[in-house]
Amino acid sequence: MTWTITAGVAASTRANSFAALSSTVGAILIGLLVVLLLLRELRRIRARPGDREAGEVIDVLLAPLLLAYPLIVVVRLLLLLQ
Amino acid sequence: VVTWAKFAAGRGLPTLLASSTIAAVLCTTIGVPTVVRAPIVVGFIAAGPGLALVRVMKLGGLPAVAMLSVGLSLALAGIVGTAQVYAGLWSPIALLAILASLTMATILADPWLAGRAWDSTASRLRTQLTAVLVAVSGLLLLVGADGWTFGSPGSAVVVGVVALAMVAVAIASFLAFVARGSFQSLVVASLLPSAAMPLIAGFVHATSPGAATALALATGFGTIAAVRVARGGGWGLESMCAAALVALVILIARLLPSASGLVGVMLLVLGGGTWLIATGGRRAVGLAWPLTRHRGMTEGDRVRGRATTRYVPGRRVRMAQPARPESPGHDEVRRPAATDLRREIWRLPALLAIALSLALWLSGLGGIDVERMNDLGLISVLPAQVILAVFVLSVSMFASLLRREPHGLVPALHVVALVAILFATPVIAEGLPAGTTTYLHSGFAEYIARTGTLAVDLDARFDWPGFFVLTAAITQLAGLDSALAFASWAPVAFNLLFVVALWLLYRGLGLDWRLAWAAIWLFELGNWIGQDYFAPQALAYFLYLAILAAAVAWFRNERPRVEAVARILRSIPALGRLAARLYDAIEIPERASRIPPPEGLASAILAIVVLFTFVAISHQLTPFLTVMALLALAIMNHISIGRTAVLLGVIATAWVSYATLPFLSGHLAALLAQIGQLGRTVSQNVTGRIVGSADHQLILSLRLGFTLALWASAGLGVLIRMRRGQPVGTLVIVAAAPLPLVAFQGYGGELVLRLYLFSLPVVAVFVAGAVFREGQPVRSWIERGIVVLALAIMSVSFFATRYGNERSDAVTPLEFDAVSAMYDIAPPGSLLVTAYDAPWKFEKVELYSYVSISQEFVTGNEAGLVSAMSSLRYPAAYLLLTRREEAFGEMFSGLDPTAWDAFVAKVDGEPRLQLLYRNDDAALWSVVRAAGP
Repeated sequence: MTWTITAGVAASTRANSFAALSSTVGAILIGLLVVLLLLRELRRIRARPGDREAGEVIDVLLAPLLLAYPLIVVVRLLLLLQ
Repeated sequence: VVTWAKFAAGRGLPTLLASSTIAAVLCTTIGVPTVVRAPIVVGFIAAGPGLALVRVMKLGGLPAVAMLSVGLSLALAGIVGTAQVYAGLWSPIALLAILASLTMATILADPWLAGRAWDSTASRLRTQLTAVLVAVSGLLLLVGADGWTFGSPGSAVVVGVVALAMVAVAIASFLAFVARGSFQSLVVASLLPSAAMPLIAGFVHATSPGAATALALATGFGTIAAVRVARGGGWGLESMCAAALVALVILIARLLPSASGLVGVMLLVLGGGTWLIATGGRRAVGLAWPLTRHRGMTEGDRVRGRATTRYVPGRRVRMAQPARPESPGHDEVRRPAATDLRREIWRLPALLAIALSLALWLSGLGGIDVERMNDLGLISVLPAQVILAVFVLSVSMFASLLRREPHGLVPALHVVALVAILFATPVIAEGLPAGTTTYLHSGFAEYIARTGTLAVDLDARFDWPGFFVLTAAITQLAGLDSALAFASWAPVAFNLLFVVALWLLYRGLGLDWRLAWAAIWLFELGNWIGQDYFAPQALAYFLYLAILAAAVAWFRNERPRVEAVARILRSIPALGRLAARLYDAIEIPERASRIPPPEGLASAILAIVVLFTFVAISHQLTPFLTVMALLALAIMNHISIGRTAVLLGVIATAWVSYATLPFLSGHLAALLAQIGQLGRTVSQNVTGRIVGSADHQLILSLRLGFTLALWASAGLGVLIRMRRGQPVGTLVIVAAAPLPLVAFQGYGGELVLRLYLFSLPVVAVFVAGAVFREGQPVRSWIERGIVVLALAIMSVSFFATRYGNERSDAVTPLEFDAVSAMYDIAPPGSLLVTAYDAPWKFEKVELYSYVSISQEFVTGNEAGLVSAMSSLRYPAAYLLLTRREEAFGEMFSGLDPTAWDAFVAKVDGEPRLQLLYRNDDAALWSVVRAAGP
């Protein structure tokens, strides 16, 4: 059986399970975390005018994501153990 | 070499890169013989895209360029290929198209990538051509885009999220263009929707994602072209573009094998050829040369009559004609001074020593009779010339390091010769890859190449598929039948790569050139561990060294000592002073190496992330060892990229918790149970391994003794360096970082071996540092004598420790013939049985059931064996017994030498087994089934 993107999204939405939710939301959050961490490091290194302020804004976004990330991983592992 | 390197670093490199890109595409599409095609395609995939990228990274230095070129090229190919497989879009030809487009775009668009002013005419031209090339590659992609489907709802969701993210970035970029007029924002804004279009088309159920992509590409590049023309952009570099177009259009033609398509392609080829001829050969050749460089002359040059090259960004420069220098008379020709001659002539004995050692080695190779090996391994049949060759080379290298002036070429040649002798000897003597795992890995790649999917139910290693996908792509694109064609040479190639990464690491630490070369020498002679065969961990280890080298060379803090930490340590009751003193000793800062500009550092971060991503998707252990080393360095304030270390940790854990679920769901409890089992891990890794015949136990004891001696010498080296006031901090942290893993994982009894490998770069420095002081040659004759003695011992011990298992690891051509015959005979679904493990599974790995019957073999129970093989679950069952299994039984199980012959005689006498094939090294039987009712 093959899936189109639409069918995939529909199946995920219909499933409405915690696993589906954690997979989707978790993947998006982790992607965002990776991008923000990278941006923050690049801005720190390039150190151009205005980068410091932008870096502080990124830090505000990073903090909750960094806290949420281990939670996502641990919850997924606990689900696997059940 | 130096002349070529200078040429390549300047004018020649872009031309060479562009030519190799076009050659790789042409070879893949027009049916060039494999003997020509394979080296060109493998060479391009292994170095092309990375070299193009490194050219604009501003990181400098030949070792850095070499290391990142290979690392980035392989990592990019592996990551893109793995993404294709997970999305259900496996297509090696599309992978090549993407890599070729990336390479060409980088060559042509480097001013844009390097952040130079886009107003430069040359920048405009190259960006224009980049746009055309990316458009062509987009056309290639759209050919494959029609009918794209997704293997699972998960992959569809991920691809959908990626598409939406791309559109979001495109909108943001367009807004940036409107606000600031930044051309690079415009390019991003125009290109991203094009790339996202097939994905979006999947969302909206468009009948033709390809048509949607074509429309988006046309819109995107039309926008770019319109803005360029409006802002006064010109045309140029057409010939280069034409050549690239011809190559890529042929690729399209291969994908569209219709008559009208071929006619169209022919017309384009003819048109392109005419265009090339019309614009002139000089232009065609010189096009790849960056146009921002113009030959101008400074006043000093005018006096000397010599032109120089310099950057003139943003405007055209009238080309100055260099003054013709007066022809010097014969007497005016500069002759080397006597001191120069003396400086240069020392190389002669060193080069003669290299030639002598290579001659000794080659003369000894013919005398190796693999069939006569005993349980001591390769050393039991190794002619003395080969060992002498290593010793002569080592002494010559040592003599080279006694020189006052550094000269990289002579030690580098020594190291290349050493790697050849140490690691190519069994390859040449045996002819086929050693070790059954190499055949299995080749089989994994064959499965991916054949099916475009991952067999996660078959083997857990498919959950980390990066290396196997990369191998599949290289094998298919090079036109090879199997990865076995090049797998034998993996140890030679990997060790050369280790040398490059180690050189950058050591020099990045500020080590003296003598110490760096000596440590590299020790690393190679101490590398008995054998984890550099054709396997994911070998490539991952090179990338680990590369990431570590990049972090240490470019992001090291010169003042790592944190006063607050020292204060806290001092406040500890009783132990405070000692702890503070230790902290101070460890925190002695090493000399900082040359720091690249900010753009270079930013590129280095991106390169580290790309390299690590490939490591994370390729191997189970290495990502975590890498993260532990970087985090430890960041926590101790030795490097400044703590966030990058966290980022890499996120990537590694995210991969494990999302992509390896098939493995984790069955093994998580067992993995967690290993935590805290320190004693079990140590016994499993050390004492549990010393079993087998007396000769084999001698080899195991040698390995253990050598390792302990090396570690003890390293400990002594640490104390000596600290006593001399030389830095140890970064190295100690790197060596100690993986140790906590012992408390968490046994890694199948191999963890201690891996820890030895990961500590070896540091251990080598400390051992070599006991003799080589910073900035001065070894003067004491006693020390010189000790070094020569140690080199003599290591020349012998290397072959004993490294190739001690070679009797059972080696695979003979006759054994391979027997396995091939078995695959020819056995129908799919058959049960394939052997005593321990055979050089099999290199093809059709999922189509058969494989079983080892070591218990029946050890107990001589051929009747039980036949009963097990008679199961009606399988259409047929075959028993394969080979020479290497006889060796394995004697070496590792301590079986009597007569046990094998007795067991084979029993099998021969068993009426329910029918002999199908036999040669001197192997035999194949099938089970005779009783006739049905």
